[in-house]
Amino acid sequence: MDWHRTKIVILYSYYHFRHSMETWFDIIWFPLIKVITFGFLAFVLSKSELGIGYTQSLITGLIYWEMMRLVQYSVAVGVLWDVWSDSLTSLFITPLKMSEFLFGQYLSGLIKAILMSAVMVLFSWILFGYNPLTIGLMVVLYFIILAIFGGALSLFITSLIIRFGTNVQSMAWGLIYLLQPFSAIFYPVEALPQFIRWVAYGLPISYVMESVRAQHLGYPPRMNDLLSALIMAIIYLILSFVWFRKIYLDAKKSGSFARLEM
Amino acid sequence: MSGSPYLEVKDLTKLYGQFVAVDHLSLKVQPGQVLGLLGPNGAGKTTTIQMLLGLTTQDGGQIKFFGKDFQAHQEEILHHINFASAYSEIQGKITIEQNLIIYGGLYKVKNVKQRIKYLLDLLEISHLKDMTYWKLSAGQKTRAILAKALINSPKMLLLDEPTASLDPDIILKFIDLIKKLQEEESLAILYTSHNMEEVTRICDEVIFLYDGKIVAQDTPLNLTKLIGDSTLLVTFDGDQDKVKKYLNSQNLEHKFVRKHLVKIVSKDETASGILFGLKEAGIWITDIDIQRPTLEDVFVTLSRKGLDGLAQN
Repeated sequence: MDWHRTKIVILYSYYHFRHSMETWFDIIWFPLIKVITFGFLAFVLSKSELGIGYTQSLITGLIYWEMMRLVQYSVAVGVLWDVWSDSLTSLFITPLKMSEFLFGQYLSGLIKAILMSAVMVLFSWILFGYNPLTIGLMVVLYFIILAIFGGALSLFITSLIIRFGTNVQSMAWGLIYLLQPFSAIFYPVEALPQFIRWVAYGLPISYVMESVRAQHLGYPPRMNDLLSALIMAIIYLILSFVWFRKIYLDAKKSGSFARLEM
Repeated sequence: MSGSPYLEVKDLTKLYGQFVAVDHLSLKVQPGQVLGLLGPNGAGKTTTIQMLLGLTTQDGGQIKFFGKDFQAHQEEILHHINFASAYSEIQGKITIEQNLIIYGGLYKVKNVKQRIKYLLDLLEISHLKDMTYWKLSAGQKTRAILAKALINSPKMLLLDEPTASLDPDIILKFIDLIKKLQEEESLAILYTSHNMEEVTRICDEVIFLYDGKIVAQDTPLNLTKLIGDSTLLVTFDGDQDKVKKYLNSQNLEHKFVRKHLVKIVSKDETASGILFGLKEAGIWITDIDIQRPTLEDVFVTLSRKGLDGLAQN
């Protein structure tokens, strides 16, 4: 892995971001609208018996969800923009490696996610008086787990784009929402029917969200669960890497990678 | 042209299931040489180029650039080659200059800003540097792609129909530029195009691919000889029978196109003799035209009739 070329990919992503109104909407507009909508919802719910702690966790959960979504979105849509531009082959006839390209897009996604999360925190604090950072340094661990899991999702979704091309392009921004009902962002895992809870238990994000909720309700963070979530996220990352590599090599062998743009 | 070749391909093979897209292809490109790769659609040109660029994995054979095995030294080799095609573009959302900064960065070009300025001036698109790629016309896009292809001062360039959407005057400029680069920098080029006139002017040697195999390889001039002899068109004033009698006496294949226009198959060197003979036979010649076979004829024959078409000629 060449760090110089990885930095060039980050610069590439930055140039693209500057010129793309669509990306501005996906990365800035929608998260802000969501934080405002959920802020009002939390405000109403805080007057109910659920109390302030629970409603605060709603906002915090939303911000974490958006952070993970932005990481995944940046990588998958970053690849798609080059498919739409017919420029993917131009990039990969340079010394640039796929790993450098994806890592550069991933880092760029992380930067966008951190900046956007900061803006969302500010919005929720200034507009609604909720400060998601009151849970302290655990924020960092939650971020690490979700960044790793977001990376795994990015690789999986990008592999689908490489395998099936633009036929599955909407998965780049839509597939992640399949996980949302099971991610315990807005309600605890116990709210799910018993027979489907295993899906939630298979997702690192649900452990993070349960821990966030516990902290907002005044309990200590669930360290054992978080450790499991971290290990799970790392395993998913390794599996998605192995899967992606297989799909990528198959696509180069079948010639479909070179034809991806057409 | 001598010395070790910039590109050496041996027995390159690509299979798509049972279909053999490239069948034990071998070729060499020497420094400063322009080699044309021609063939009808599906002949294996694009697959060959994709393998040479590392975009598609080969199933057999060996590719060597600058004497080094491509698979083992891919990263190093990619620093010294580049590619341009009317069908492979650069990022449409960002400006030409930003695109070139990115590609210059990926190739680790020193003094990249200076190199970009030189290329934009050379290709006469300096005034477009701040325009996003998608806003350019087809011709401007092709020049931007060419700037990208030259950003790393490549030793070897692979060009796949690079002039597909250019105006004739820009094509002429492009040809001049390619000739200049070839002479000044010993740039080797592998060139595919459907514009046979362009291929004839640019290429030192041409390879015809058919069903993934090389079916002919020679200079453009020699390849046209595969298609057969020239045609002599003679317009005359007088009796058609007299002309027929003379041509039959000389065993010359001919056909009367109109009452006073005859098409005679001949070799270039015998044309003057035929004309002299017709005059001696008392035929008054009012106009002559010699039609020589072109590379396009070779291409069309091959595309329509396959190998048998060439063999028949």
